[in-house]
Amino acid sequence: MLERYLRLWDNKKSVPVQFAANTLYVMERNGMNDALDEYSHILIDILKNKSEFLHSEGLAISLWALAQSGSLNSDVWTNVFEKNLSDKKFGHELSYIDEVRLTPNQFESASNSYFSEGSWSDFGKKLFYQGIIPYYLPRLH
Amino acid sequence: LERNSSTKVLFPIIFPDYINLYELHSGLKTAHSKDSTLGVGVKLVELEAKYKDSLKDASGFEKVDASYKKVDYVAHLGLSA
Repeated sequence: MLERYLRLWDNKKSVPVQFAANTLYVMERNGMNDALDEYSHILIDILKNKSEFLHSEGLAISLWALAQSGSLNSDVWTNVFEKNLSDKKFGHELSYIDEVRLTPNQFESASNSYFSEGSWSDFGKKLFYQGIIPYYLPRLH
Repeated sequence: LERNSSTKVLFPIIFPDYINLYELHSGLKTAHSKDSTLGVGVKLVELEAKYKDSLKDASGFEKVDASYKKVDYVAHLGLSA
């Protein structure tokens, strides 16, 4: 799927930088080592070319992914992270969610920004959730 | 480029819930432990000083982090290799 998506972009510099950050993160989180070996150089190039547009979330997750996979070298560190980290703010709030409609798979957060797992297709659930909800903890009553 | 510059502004508004401080801290620590010559240590010390109070308890992140399951995606999604 990633190969087909990247093929759509004749100019790889046009790929949104957050796409590169998210993809590196998802691949590392899920142990997709073959895909990382094959595509990380393309995604890292996108990060380097457009690092000024990364927000704090993108910086944090791409740094985490590259550090975990051992792909962080001095060139990437200097040109993507070192020069951009200082002026960013990083959050530390955990979001608590409540179940809705008395079902075990639909939740909402205080800001109502949570996209309920229950409304996703079976393919989407498998792709993004794997049966758990990252970074959202059930509220303890 | 216009699309990317608007993402930087809009993302925190659309998705205000995040705990990326812990992910960043975890990434910096990992990078520093793997290669201390990169210069990551300076930023790590800066971050730990700036967010000293917030970093005291990362147990929530660590709990979720440890629970994340690695899966064989080809098999998981029912795709052929």
